[in-house]
Amino acid sequence: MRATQSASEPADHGPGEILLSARDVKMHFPMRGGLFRTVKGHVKAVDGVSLRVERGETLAVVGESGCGKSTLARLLLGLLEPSAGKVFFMGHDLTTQKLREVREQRRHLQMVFQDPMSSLDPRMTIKNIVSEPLVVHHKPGRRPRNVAVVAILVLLFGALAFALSILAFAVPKVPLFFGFLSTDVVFPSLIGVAFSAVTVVSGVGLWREGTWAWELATIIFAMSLVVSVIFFSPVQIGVTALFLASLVSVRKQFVSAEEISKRVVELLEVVGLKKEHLNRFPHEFSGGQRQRINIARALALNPDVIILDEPTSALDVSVQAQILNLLMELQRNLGLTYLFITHDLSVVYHIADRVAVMYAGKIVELGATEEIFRNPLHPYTKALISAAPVADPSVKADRIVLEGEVPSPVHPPPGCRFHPRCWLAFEPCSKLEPELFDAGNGHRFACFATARDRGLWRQTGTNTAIDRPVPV
Amino acid sequence: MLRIEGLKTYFHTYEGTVKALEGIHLEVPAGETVGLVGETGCGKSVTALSVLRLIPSPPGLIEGGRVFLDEPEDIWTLRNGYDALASERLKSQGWVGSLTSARVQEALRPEIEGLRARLAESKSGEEKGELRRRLQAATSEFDILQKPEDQMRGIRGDKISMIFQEPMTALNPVFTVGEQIAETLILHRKPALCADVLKSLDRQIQARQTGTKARRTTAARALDRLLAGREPATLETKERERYAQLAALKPTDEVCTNCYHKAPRLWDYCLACGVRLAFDPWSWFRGRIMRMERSLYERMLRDPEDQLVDFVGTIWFLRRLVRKRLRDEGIRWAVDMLSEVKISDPERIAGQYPFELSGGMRQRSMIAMMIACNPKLLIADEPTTALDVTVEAQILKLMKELQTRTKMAILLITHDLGIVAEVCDKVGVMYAGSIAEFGTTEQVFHRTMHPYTNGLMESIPRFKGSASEERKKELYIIKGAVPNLLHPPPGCRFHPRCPRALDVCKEVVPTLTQMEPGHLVACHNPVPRVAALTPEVAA
Amino acid sequence: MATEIEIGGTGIARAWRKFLQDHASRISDLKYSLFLFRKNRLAVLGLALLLATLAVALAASVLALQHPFYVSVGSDLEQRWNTDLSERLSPPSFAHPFGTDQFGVDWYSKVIYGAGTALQVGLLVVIPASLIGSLLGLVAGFKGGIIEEAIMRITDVFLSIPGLILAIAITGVLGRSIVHVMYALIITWWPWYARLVRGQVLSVKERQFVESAKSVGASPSRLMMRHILPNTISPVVVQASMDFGYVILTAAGLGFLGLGAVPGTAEWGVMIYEGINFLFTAPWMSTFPGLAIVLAVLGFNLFGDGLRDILDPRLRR
Repeated sequence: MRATQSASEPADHGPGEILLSARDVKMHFPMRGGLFRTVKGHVKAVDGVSLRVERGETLAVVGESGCGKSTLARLLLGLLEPSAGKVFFMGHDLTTQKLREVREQRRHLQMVFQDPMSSLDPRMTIKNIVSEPLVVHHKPGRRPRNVAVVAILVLLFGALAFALSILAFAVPKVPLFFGFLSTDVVFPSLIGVAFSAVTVVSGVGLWREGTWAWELATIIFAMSLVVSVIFFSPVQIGVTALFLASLVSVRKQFVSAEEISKRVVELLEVVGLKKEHLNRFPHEFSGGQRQRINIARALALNPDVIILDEPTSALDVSVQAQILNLLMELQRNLGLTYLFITHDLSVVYHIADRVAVMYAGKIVELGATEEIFRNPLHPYTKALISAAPVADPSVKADRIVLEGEVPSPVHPPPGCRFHPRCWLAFEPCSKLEPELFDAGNGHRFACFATARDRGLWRQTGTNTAIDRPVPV
Repeated sequence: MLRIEGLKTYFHTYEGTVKALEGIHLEVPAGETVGLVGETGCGKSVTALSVLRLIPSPPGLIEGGRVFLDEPEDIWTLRNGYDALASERLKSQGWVGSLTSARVQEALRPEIEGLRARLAESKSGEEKGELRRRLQAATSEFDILQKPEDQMRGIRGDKISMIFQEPMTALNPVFTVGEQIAETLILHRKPALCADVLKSLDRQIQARQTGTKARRTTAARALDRLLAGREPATLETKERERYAQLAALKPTDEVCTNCYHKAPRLWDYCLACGVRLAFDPWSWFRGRIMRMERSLYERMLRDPEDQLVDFVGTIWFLRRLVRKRLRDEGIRWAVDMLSEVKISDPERIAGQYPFELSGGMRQRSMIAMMIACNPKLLIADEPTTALDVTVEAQILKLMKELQTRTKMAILLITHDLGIVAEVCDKVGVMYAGSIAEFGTTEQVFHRTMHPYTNGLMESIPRFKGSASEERKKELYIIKGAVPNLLHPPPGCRFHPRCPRALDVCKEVVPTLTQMEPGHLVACHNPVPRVAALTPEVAA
Repeated sequence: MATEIEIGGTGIARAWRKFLQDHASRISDLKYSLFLFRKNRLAVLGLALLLATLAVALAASVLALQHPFYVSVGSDLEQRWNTDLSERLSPPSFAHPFGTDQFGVDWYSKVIYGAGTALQVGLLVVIPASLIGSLLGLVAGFKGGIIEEAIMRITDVFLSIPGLILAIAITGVLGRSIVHVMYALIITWWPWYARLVRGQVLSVKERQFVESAKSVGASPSRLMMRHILPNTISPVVVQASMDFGYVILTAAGLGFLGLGAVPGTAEWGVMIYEGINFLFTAPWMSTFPGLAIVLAVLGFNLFGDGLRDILDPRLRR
């Protein structure tokens, strides 16, 4: 017998607009093994989670490693497709949308990743990293005429060169490409074929206004110029120089450096970095600064919601304070909404409006921050709160030390997932899965023992069946 | 137990010299837990590695200071006198900086030679003892920085052990947990292991002589066989014991059919009765082999570096004669260690590889490995940072229990002030390569004196005991950033960020001075902090 | 971090200084790499040998005592040398530092010109092979699924083809020529790069910055070209620089076996082949080209090793 979490819940939020919501979302990763890669089992990372985030609030998702919070973040962002359930963002169902529309949504929903060390591409400058969202979503207007002209010229030139190099296979005794290697002519023709093919490709790319095409074409013609200078053929020098000049003249269309640069500098200043940092590489920055870069990038497209996956876990205490202050300031000034994933309860207490506690892929408690901290109703929440170390030696806390380990997501315990470690566990806990009981004021919890004590649940005859023989 | 005096470690890199540690003073008494707190880059890990002398030597070098391990109190008192004398002499020669053993010995050469001469001449035992003590004090005998490398190797793992932050990277992935613990034991406890090997060998030889045969079987089946259809109540007393023994095990555990003792697959012989349980391709020769092994292990016991034993160890097909039993015995001890760190089912865990275990288990295995030789000092470098809060609680409780039992000293390095408040007796706060403040946790947390410590305390978000209006307010931050240790600020390294900086702070490096008994601060302008924390634990 | 430095000056000087400032990070990284490289004596030796080979090849017309000429044979051009039968098989002397061969051609000049041939062979094999292999490996690693399987199986097939047999087959069909040997070598060599790059791509793909770029909305081709590719090149560069030497060696080996260049051409392998017959009477014929090969290959090998060391992120800082 199972009681699942209901898909449509009573109101557990204020009167604000709901920006992001998940309805009974499940993520089961198949495990394949064996010769034919048959599916052996599922890693049930997220197993039926529903929540709602309204505009302007900070919702914290708390849990330990292995509880599925990072997977949940990716599901909400649309990076993963859920095995079941739906994710809604601003009214749009992310699970049924096409890729192009999802990309559009990305402008309003961004994510700050966990590890500042590895979430920045070590080979890109800060400027490239922060401007990437802008570059990716850049929508050009009508193709300007000079660009079209250059594109067509390059295309034609490439096609001509291509034809000639093919011909060279058939025509013997074409002047040698290299001075030393004098035994064959086919090889230089191959090189000519390759180069001209690349030129054609770049011409096509120029037509479609890709910056890469501009860079590629410039490289090709520059190389050609160098070769023609070495071998001193005036005609070739002239032609390639002309092409290079025309490419340089259309530079602005492709490398719209100016306005993007300005915006990047703006963003860096908002997060507390300086203009000089534009051209530096990530490895030159400290953890806190890297996290600021991540935040700057997340802000680039003026999103409405930002999902933060453990943004301060890898940082020192004082740096954490700076980042938290920054986040709160940004929320005030820009009207952002945060979904904050963490395992640090003191951060949660300080920054979150509402809290959701996750354990083994399910939400076990949900409610306003103060309510949850003052009056935790689920035993796991109680254990978490008591286990959190307090920086005050006079508080000799009576720590609840849990036995056992976090359950494996492949074979979760039957019934309530917490029951093997729970000191309140009684009969139904190992057989039935608790649903989220409502304690009022938006405070909900999933525990039979507490529900029974509060009169919200009763044990009836049908739900106490014992089907396992007990040894004598 | 551990006394660090003026430790200086510099790293000579391409960009310049990184002055990682600039004269650290720290004390870890036996039986106490001392926390070393600081942020990234302040030098806490470097301190630990310097103590163990594991600093990679081309860039890094321990430039000065002394580290005393297990120095008796009386020698320390004597040494203070000698040190004062030595530093006076060195100062008059115009030499500044921290003392190293070599320098001290240089400066005290006349005294040392005098003591040696008198020791040689002396007749009475008492006088000899006194002179020896003085000699040890004068020559900084207990300073481990001046000891040769092979002695250091004896110390590492045996007297001083270190647990690291990432258990996955600290444990060797190609050896099982039991094998790794056994390795430490074989290195440091060979004679005791040999003795145990001989004992079990004797048992096995005897079992072989009586010709008993046995197999492995599951506890369930053994139970059935024992009962043979009868009721448990009708058993005789002898069999009742066995019944109780079997009933305590899981039905799927394996037991020896001869004595019904637990027999995991880690060993080929039954631990209790010594009967061989695994298939033996050498069964005809086993007796002779066992006698050979016995004589070899006897030799090993008498002289750990016995030549014959070494020689046999080099011949690849004979190697197992002198290795296998040692390892098996080591794994047996490892299982005991694992149960000491509260791992249930230690036999199973001993046979697992690190990647098969969860984070908490791995950390416990590493702790087991490090306490295997009962070290006097345990250095724990961020042992719980990679673990969840609930597992962290378990590990910290475990460490405290071990400490009360074995009286070992613990140096706990972390950046989490919460753990320090809970677990540590004393705290040292590090900033940019030197100790800013040191005292009991009570003193440092409630009567903070150094502005840096104060800043740290203020910038932590709290939830236990803070009013609800505190939420969503801006957190206090220490302005500025950690200094670049290539070009540290002159004078006090904290002065650019210090809200209480004076002019003198820019020029003169503050030394650790005692403000109240046991509470030291390195600051020209310390602040007495009013305790504002009233505990209001959440319901 | 450094504060903003005002750029003074005008015109080109200003532009140059701005360039330096903008790329300061890259420049200081480069300086550090050079420093690390200098510390590795063997690598510096390798670089020296490499540059020496290059210098010899480029300055062939100046350094050599005798120069070849070209004659068209069929649709090809063949390299020919002036023979002087009165000087045949003469041992090393002032006039002929490396001696002469059975036709009286100055061996020293042939070895000098052989350097150029060797370098071209290396270049024209390694560059196409690495390009093709890397591209295929990139696509395979990135796309995964059936495309990856297909590409990898094809790679396996080509890996199993021994270069020697292939070279024999191709020269048998198309005729004996150094270029045909180069085709064979390209076909033999590209699978290594495919494997290498695919492995790298698989690990880079999982890194967080790729996921981060995806979440921003980057298209797959942008991910591949802008994020994954730059982070996978360094092993390829190292492999290519070492393969340069191996290719020269293999080509020489094939030449020695009678495939490859036409006898009479200045190609080290073929020169050793020619000298085998005279191994005891004129040992210099095989020795000097062999020595040249050793030095060139050693140079590339050591240089590649040094390159690998400086590119290894763990050894830095």
